[in-house]
Amino acid sequence: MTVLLWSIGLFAAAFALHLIIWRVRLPKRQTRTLLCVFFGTLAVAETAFVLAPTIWPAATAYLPVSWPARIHVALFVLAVTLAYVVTYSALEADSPSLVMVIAIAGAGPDGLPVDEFQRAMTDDLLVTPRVADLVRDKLATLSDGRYRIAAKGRRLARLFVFYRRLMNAGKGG
Amino acid sequence: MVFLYFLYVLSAPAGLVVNVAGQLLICRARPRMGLLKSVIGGFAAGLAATVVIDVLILVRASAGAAEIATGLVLNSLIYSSLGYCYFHFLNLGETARRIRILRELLEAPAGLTMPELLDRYNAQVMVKLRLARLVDTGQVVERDERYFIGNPPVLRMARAVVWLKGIVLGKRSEFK
Repeated sequence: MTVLLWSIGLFAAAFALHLIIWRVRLPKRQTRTLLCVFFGTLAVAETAFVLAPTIWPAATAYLPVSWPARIHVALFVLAVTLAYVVTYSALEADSPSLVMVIAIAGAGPDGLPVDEFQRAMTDDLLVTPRVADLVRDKLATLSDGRYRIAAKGRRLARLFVFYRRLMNAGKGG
Repeated sequence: MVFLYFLYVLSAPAGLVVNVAGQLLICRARPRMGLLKSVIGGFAAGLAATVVIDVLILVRASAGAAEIATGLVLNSLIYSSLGYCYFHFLNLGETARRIRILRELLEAPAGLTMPELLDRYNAQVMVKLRLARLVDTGQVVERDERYFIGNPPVLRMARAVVWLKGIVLGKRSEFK
């Protein structure tokens, strides 16, 4: 129970800190900042768990002080943080599939005409911002009007090429 | 006892290994099942493995019912988070625009201008791929040259995402 309560509590504390920071000012590198907030909170807590027995022995009854328990707490925070970060990436950029579904639902019982739908989905809305994201995140570079894949982007792309081949799947998108 | 506790801590990552192996096996053995069903099958197999490992270890360690229940909740939450991350990884390969654009750039060592890139991958290609997925799964229905909502799960997910955007980012769309 101690491990479960501390795991949930730490994640909740990190989440609250993240919301406060986001309300003060939205960071430029949001994913990186998120990871710093969550893993920073975990690092502070784990340090406290290690030091607690020497500083305040009475508190050890309420803390996960054994090393398997500390690893368990760290594993929980790591797993739930990663799950939140991947969800967050879905919040940063509007997913075309979800935008499409909301547009169709918004048309009501008469439905959305196919040609009207096609006209609304433009490259400026759906593609160009994502290319800019790649350059901003240093996954691609832009020089002399040409986009080239960067080393970081190459590693990422090759990972997905390999995995999609494992599944006998196509390019996707 | 410490060794048993250590195994118990690792039951969720072990479940993830079973999840990945199961999903890949299903995908390769039954390609017509589709990605989503292979993900569900893999996830179920991994969750079962996590629960079985936990119950075996906790019973061997003479844990009480409350401890077993707490342990199952904790490791199921860890496993579910890991399984969710794996689902997202697969989904990125299937639907992410940035990954697709990177793959196009990977195939063009000399680089691509924006018109060249859009020639290979553009809004029309993207919408066609996505609509096909939505129609195949019954989320969207086409009738008389008009689109209608079919099954509602994706629409509910879309509304939940918009709500969450409002809470976390203070805006409902990246264009607002």
